Amino acid sequence: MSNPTATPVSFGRRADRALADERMRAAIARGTGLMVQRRHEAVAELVNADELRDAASAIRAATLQRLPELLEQWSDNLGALGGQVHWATDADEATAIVAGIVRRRGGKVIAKGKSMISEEIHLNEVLERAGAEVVETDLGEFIQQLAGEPPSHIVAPAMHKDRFEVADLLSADRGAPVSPEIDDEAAYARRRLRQAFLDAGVGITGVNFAVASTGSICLVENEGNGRMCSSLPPTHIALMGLERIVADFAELDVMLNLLARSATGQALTVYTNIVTGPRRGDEIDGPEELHVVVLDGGRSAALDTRFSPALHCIRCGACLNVCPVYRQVGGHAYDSVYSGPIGAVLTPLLKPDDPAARELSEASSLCGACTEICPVRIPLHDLLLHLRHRDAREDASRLRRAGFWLWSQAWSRRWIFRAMVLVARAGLPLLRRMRHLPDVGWLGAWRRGRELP
Amino acid sequence: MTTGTSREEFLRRLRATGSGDPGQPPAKPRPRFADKRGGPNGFIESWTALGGTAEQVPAEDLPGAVTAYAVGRDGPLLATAGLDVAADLTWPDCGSQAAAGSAVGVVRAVAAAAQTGTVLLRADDNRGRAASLLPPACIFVIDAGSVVDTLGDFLRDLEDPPSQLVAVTGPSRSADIESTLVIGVHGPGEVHAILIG
Amino acid sequence: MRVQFFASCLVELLQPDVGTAAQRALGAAGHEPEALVGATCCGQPAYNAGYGAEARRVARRTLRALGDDDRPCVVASGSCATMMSHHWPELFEGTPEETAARRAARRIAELTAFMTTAGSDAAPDGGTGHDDHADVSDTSRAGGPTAVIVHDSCHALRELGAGATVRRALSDTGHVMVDADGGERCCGFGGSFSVKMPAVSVAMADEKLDSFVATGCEQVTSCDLSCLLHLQGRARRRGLGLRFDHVATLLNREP
Ligand code: SF4
Repeated sequence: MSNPTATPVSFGRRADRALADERMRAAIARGTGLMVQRRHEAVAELVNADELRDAASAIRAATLQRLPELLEQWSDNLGALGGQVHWATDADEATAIVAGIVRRRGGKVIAKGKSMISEEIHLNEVLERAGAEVVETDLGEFIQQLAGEPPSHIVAPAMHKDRFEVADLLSADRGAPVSPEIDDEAAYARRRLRQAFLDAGVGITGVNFAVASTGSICLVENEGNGRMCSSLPPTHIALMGLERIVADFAELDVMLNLLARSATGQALTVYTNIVTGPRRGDEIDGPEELHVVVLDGGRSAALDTRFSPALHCIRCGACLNVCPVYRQVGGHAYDSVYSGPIGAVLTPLLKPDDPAARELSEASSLCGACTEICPVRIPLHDLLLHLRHRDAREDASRLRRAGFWLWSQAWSRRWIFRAMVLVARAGLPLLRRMRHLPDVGWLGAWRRGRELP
Repeated sequence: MTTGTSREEFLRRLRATGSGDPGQPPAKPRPRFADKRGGPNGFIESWTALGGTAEQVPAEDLPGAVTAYAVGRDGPLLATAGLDVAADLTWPDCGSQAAAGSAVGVVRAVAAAAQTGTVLLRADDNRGRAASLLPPACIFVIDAGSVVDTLGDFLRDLEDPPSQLVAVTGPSRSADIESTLVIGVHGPGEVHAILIG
Repeated sequence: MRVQFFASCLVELLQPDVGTAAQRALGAAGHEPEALVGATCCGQPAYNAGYGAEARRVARRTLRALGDDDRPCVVASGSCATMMSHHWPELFEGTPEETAARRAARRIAELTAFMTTAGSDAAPDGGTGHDDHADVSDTSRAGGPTAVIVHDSCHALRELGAGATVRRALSDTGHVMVDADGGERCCGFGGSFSVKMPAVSVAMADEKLDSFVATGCEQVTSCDLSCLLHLQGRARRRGLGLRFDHVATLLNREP
């Protein structure tokens, strides 16, 4: 069972491995730094950014309060226009639904736009096992598919790679050199993926927002691949989490004004696609069938808890970009589809029984930079703290629990505290001088890289 | 199809949560901008800042403007899109294969938003979605009177959305490699706006 | 003004001089500080690690020491001030001490927040909350090798709004400051984080330290001793010639 390249089970171990990867860290520091800077400039263009953020937060909260009603209205409206809505309780159901549609609608090639839900349910594996060729068409996702890696960032999936690594991957794909110039790399991807769009029998995309009042789904992107996937193949399948809904276009307007600014620092993404049903009447192109798969995947269980604000997330990635931990270790250290602060909150909610997921709440210094930047004002670092309160005791070793208990007994008695003060003052200089302290426990952890105070 | 959960079952689980009472309906403010842009000139300013090109011509000059933009391009034909603008140009049958082989697409926009430099396309307004998507260059024909301030101004008044409404804000781009901007990744890298009137 | 004074357990344990310096600074500004008798710790180490009952047990000791008093309580640590002013009400929610905790929370003020607003109408509220650190950026751009690098502790910066008050207190006493790059980024201490994720914590410190070294200045300060000890521990291991002193110490020192 011991596989030296297997992903380590603890965040700390994975982080150690990430910290040794200087190239990845440089790429992440550069990428996140640029995104934060662009985000600040774009938000500064808004006179009423705070008002919009407050409104967005209230809109998301109100949405969760009347989720069944909105989903019902939305699916009625979409259904009346010929769209087919499917409801999936978990990943297995969702992948089975998609696989069923793919089987029925034929087409060996599936053109796929960016969709975090598809990552969450591991859709590609299921479809490939069923014999389909799935082509990721977002440039970053395409790179990641060639690398055989999951995305490391919810907005920029290949942020951790530099252009030389990308050139190697593209060259291997081409069977001939692709130069490490970014323009050439993008041009290669354009040529390479063009035929896939034209050949594909099915296009799969995510959904950024679903609009209840009209039955629409809204999909934002910059490259045009999302438009291709939703316009060219005869069947379009869109995947969404059940929380992705807004009541009407006015709410959508509030969200769109924050999403791209927070994500990439654009006022709007290049393409904002609002799809309301499959092709109609005498339209000469567009999908004949539109299917939307709505995934629960553990979300409903979080609804009535204090963690429900995590479902307000609009996936802008800003919290990843400002997170000092993410900056050091990148996305893969989280070993989850969702990384960074929102990943550390969301993953344990979606996988409540997975201790490895619960450990992610420790992957934060609780500095609050995420909370400060979140466009919909999710109190991310508070939620991380609450998760620790929920899980820490249960998950901790007996030693750790005993340690805190002992500490609390000592620190709640003034005389013991005073005694400890004296011990510390006498002991620390001695400890400091001892070169060969055993590297165990907290003391060892501190001394790993730091001198004692 | 029998896979999946029935809507009733799915929603019933959700009804068990939440109060169902949204309280006061939330405010839905419009964005306000420090550098406010409006009208055709505002649109042109935003659009060109994104890397697009633009011109404003009287209606009768449209065929000439389209022709002038298209001449000398390395590609067989223009993709058509419901515009009867240039009788002397050859228009192929529309459709994705034709569009894929074209050098320039020409489409009519239903509106544009000045603040962000955004062009709005309705699927039912044009003979094909592919025309504005597959060719490496695209001309958007915009009635100067249809320019609104923001995308939200258009959306908030939209009652019956078409099967597809696309808001296009500049040329196709990506920053997926080293967070560095590249233009023209899948959609058109050259975008030209012709405002009429 | 007559005030209570709480040094924090870390100060008492490791750098009692800081407590003395803070009281002296308060005295010099015309205040009359009286150290809390019987207090130990705000409970933060356990609270941030997810141990509510243990945190309460310890915090209760300090809450009692605060007593039934109307005076502001000045705290020589941004993160402890945050714990007491922002998190105590929740920590004691549903316990007999809830009201006392809420009342105490309103009396808490971080040292520099108190020193720069006392006498104005602003009631202590953990900090001032209304300060924007852009306010004083003109004083912090000036340089020179003797300038002080201010490290903003996250709690002070984001929850107390004390980024500006540390700078103002320093400039009021004639200090010249310099801003390091990435100033708003966490130093990686984070309480239990520093020992649960030591490698990440140290990597974060390294980036911070590099940004300090790049300023060409050597004196680092902060309103949080915990951040300073972490940064200092790392700087010593790396053999960097940076000096770390709590802001209270600098307030008593000729610039
Ligand atoms: S939690 Fe907030 S900042 Fe993070 S991705 Fe979601 S919306 Fe963006």
